[in-house]
Amino acid sequence: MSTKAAPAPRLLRSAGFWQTSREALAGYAMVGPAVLLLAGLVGVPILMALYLSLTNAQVGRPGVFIGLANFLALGRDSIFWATFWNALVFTGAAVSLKTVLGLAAALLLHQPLVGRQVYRGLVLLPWIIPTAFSTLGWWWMFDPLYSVINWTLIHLGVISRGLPWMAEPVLAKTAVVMVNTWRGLPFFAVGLLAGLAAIPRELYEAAQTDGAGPLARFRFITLPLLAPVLLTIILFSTIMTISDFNIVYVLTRGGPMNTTHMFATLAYQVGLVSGELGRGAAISLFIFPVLLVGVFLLLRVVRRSEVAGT
Amino acid sequence: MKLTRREFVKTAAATAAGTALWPFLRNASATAAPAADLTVLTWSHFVPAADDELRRQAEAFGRARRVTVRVDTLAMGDLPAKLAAEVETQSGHDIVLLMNYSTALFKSQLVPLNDVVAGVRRQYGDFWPFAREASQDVGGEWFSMPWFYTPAPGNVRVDYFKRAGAPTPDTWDSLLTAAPKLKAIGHPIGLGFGHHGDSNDWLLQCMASFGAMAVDNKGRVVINSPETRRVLDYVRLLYNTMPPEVIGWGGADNNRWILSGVGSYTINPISIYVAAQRDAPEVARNMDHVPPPAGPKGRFSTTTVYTLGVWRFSRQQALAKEFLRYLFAPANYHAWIEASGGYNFPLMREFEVLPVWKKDPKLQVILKFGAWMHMALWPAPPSGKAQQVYDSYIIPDMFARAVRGASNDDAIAWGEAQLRKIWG
Repeated sequence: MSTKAAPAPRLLRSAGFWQTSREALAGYAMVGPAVLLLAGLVGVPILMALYLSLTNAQVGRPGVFIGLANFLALGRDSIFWATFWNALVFTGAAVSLKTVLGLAAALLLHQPLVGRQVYRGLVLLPWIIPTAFSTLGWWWMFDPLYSVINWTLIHLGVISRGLPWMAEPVLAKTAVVMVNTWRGLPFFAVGLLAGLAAIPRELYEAAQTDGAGPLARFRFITLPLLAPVLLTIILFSTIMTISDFNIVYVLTRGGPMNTTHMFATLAYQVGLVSGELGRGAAISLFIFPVLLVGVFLLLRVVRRSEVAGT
Repeated sequence: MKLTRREFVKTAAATAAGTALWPFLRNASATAAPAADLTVLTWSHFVPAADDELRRQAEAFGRARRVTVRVDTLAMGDLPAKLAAEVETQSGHDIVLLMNYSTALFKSQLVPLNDVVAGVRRQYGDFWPFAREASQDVGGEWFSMPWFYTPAPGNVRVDYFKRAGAPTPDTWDSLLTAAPKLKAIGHPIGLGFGHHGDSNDWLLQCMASFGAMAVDNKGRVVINSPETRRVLDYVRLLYNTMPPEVIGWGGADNNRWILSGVGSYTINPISIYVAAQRDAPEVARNMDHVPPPAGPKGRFSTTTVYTLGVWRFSRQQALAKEFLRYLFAPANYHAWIEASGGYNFPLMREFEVLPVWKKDPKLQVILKFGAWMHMALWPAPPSGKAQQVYDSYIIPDMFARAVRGASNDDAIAWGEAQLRKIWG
């Protein structure tokens, strides 16, 4: 619904003004509750975090204003920098994997296979199961004594001794990216599948008549027409991956030696577990600019595809 | 036309607001209706029967007093954050479980329990000194009720040690002599370096028995010492005989290590033995408990000390105190210890006479722990800072760095910087 009324005929303009404003009022009234809720549930906490990050507040003690001291202290903290790079590397690796594998899955599911509906339903499973629950399953699969992954690798002759998944930083990081990819794949697959279904079949038929092979059809029809959907999904996933808490918390708790923390888990560890509320708030705010850029780009893409759609 | 539009606007706004707020309104009324009169937050016990017994007592207390008592449990590792959240929101449970130095950390938020503690002491005698430290007894002010602790002996597979030709270890040296032999027969020892209290505890007691400390009794950071270097060297050698996964071990991993029949030695409360009697009789038959290893400076032990506190914001303080007294009625306290298979260990000598420890020769050793026991960061003054050091896992992380290749200087420099962030 548009709040701008179409220009009214000159004669009725004064009445039109009142009508428009009443209509606008209705608009505000309808949007109002949602805005209030957002302000209360998102706005207030962000302002609180901003304020806390500028104090030396501890749990149970309000603290005093200390300016940017928390941020400066973070700049000197090796664990924070490790977390900073983790956020970039984890998100980069997981989103890339999800994009490639998700696109492959979507293309496969788009084929007229027997029992396609069943596969489509099954693909959604990792997305539907509560993350904390499924991650516990993964945690068990990485368990040093009972790891089914190690068992398989040993019996395939790939390794001779079980890998210490949660003890070796590189392996623990790999595990986090693996689980994140597994968890987010359905979002890509199903989202892209919908995008594929929306591409008119005639385009492919026309291309085929013109002698375009499968690769050319993918390159010149599928990919360009899928781009808006793909971009939206990638941005969404980036935002969700970089702000992820559950997977790291359940799988590694940030360990070994704080090498797998994301911003959210480190903020939780420092702010709530160790009780340094101010410093924890400062850490959590580092996600904010990243998310802001993400959301800005996302809205641009959405608006552009809307314009293209009309 | 005008009226309908206005009406429409009104109705639409009201409906929208109502729909948006409905879940919150409904939740608010739902939590208000069946709310308990008294709520208790404790950890999910490693011996679940102990929680069952606690809930039974809460129900019995509730029936007698015509009130409802609800006992909530949470994984041990999630407790610190939950307590912080309750303090920040000034709402939550009435009685909460406080571990180690948490009483000091939350002192300003806790109701003094002098009257309750005095009653219990009059009846049963005094608490061990470390319990007074845990409950922040300064000049007769008790900010929490000492509840129990969990002596952590060496858990030894006697058969594996025999097969390896090594005596059961009494000192850190003899443990280091035995460890490679046990590795050779496929049953290594295992001590964790992960983010869990167990890792803090064995490393801190090892440091103490070598004369190394993180913070001295004046509150000065003194980790940079020749003694710390000696412990780092020692632990590095010990680590080389263990499986690499000990770096990531949580609280349950060393339990599984012994219960699976693979591991030959770890330091842990008797929960492994209690579980083995139920699930792995073969392991229970072949294991025993020995004193914590002694070092050049003596024999030290540290383990979690559990106390119960009542929040200042609680509106049920009188009822909460009454429930605490009820838990310490001899019949109740004894039944709860029995239910835990002797895992819950009293903080006063007078309670150590229960048959649960007397009837089993493998549990005799834990009766000696009171004399070896210290608070985790001993000799540091008990304070909220000590709890922050414990909860940040600085000590396990420092050792993990060292055994994975960092030099003594680098490991200590890192640990010292982290300690100073908290202690100044």
